[in-house]
Amino acid sequence: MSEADFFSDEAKRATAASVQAAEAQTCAEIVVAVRKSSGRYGVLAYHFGLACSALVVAYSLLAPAVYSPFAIALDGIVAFSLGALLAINLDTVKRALARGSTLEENANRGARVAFFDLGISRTSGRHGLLVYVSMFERRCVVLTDIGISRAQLAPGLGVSEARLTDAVKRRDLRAFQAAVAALGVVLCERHPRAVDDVNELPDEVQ
Amino acid sequence: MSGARRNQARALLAWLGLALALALVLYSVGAFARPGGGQSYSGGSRSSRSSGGHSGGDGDASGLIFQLILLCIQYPALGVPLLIIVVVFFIAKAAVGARQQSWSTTTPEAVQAVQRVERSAPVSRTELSTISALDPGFSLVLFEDFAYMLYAAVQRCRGTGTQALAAYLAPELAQSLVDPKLADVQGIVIGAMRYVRFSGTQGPMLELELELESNYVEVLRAGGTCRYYAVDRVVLTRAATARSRPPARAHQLDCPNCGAPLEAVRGTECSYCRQNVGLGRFDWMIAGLRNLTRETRGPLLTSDVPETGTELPTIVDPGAPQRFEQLVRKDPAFNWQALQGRVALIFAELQVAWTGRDPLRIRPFVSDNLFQSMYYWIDLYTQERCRNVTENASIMRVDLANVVNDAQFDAITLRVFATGIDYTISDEGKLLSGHRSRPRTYSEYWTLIRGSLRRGEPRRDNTCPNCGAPLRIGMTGQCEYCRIKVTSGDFDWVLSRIEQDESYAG
Repeated sequence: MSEADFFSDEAKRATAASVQAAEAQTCAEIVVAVRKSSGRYGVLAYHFGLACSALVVAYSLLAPAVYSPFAIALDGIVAFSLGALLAINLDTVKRALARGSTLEENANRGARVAFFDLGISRTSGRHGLLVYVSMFERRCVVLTDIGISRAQLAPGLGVSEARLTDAVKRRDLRAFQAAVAALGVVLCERHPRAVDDVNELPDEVQ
Repeated sequence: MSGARRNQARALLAWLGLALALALVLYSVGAFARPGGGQSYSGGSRSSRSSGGHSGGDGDASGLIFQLILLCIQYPALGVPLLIIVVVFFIAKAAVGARQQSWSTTTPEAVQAVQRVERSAPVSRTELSTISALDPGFSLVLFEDFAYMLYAAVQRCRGTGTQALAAYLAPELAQSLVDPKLADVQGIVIGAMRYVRFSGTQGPMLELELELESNYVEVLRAGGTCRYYAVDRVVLTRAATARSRPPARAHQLDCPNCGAPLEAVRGTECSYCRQNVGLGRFDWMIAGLRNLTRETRGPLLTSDVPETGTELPTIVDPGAPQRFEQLVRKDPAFNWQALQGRVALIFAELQVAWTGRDPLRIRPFVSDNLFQSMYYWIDLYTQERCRNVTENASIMRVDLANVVNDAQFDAITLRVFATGIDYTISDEGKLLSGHRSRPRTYSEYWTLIRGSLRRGEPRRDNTCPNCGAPLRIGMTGQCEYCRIKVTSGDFDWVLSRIEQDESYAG
């Protein structure tokens, strides 16, 4: 169970199959989009670098050993560089530094951008549904077009969203795919598949 | 520069920064290595204050990180593998990250290829009124009644056969329309009608395309019924030389030429007038019927659709004020204040009827077609076990938008600005959409009609405009006391159309 699982070719194939399984039961058009990140968190790495630098400088100033001003300044710079470099390369550090609301907001914004970019609102019945996964934020956002009433699907869709989010948080690809496939059961209650249903958003992995 | 390249450039800069920092450290190593200093930084003020064992003459203490690096150099067996591990980690991470590309289970290109239901710009009713130049008896109000009636008849004949309607159907359509699986089509209720395309005032045939939203129940021969919500496109044609039927025949389908019962029409030939009455020679004929969407469930009732267009200026016909003045001159009892009073009464009754899902409450004040449309929506709310509640609704302003006079009716279009609390709840009282306390401001274009021969001040009370009895109206629009149909506009102004800002085309 790792983040890389979500980006493997096998994950793409299996997720597309889950989407097809769900769409076999409903007229809704389900699209899954997986993104590495939905925001820019570079500034957090610099914050981390600054914090490292401050710690080193503070230690240098307060430690019993005596350091020259140049050495202290140099240590500060090096600590900043190393800290920033470490944070740039370690998502865990950046994620720990980011506020939960920022992660939430970025994931939501990214989902809306993807909804527009992927043309999900272009279905004739406005039955598009986007499952947006943002791995850095560990968030999964489910967006529906106006043809799908969230109020009418309230308990079932909420449970599905929770399952998807939980799977993303645990980076459990199998659980995620199972939750995607289960969306069909929830959606078919109000949006059953018609005999002449056309797959308007082709399930091709991009 | 692409995002990937930018990221690579940034990573390179970061490495360069690190290399620079290390170079500075190494440079400082060289400086610290000189005994006695000789550099300006070799004895700081802090060291002079220090009580520790470092004196200026010994050179200064090296940096913390330098000492760590020095430690690595002094113990290469530990430091070098550690350094290699760190470097390999960063390189491997960069390589893995480069492979983790975003993906999705559809492509914008594939979506572009999806067939979509086309939406044309609406034809304005003003365009249609040009028919009056060819046919002085043409009345848009009566035409719309006729179109509703004809559409309902055509839906029925999908089950019962097209023989009786041959005079009103193109021959090829009459052959293809019947569905052998159907025994009947019942309960046809039209929710909305839009004008899509109009042409032919310069040619021999007028052609008009309409879009109708309706629901109906199909009765299957095999047994069972199924309710559908459909959007259809209907193409009507008529010879430009044909004349509109008189008002008395406006609400019945008969021989398009002489008015004989439809049973007298054999194929497209009337056995009374001996004319071939088909192909739109005497009246509108349906040349095409195309289904756009058909679903077993109704339109969505619980979405929070934001108001659009309320801030837009009112679309006012340039001749509207003059024509309104003409109306006032024709009927001195009629004036703007009296009309506003009538609108306020209809508005108030409409809110009560809508919230209470009681279409009969509004029946006296709306035309047949609008009643049918309201019935459609109220029925939908009932079926979905929810209701749209409007509270504290009030009119803020009324603007004059248009005045049209034709052979049968005067029509006034007003833009009504109103505010009110608007939300939808389930029958169990659960809030489904909207807000229980936040008022919503909106505007709509209302068209009121009245018979062109009618005079008198518009009524502002709930009494029959014919007999004066308390207003009790049945589904057919007739007063229960005098049995006169009061909803045709022959007696007082009735609401004929409600159009949203975004769909009103003048």
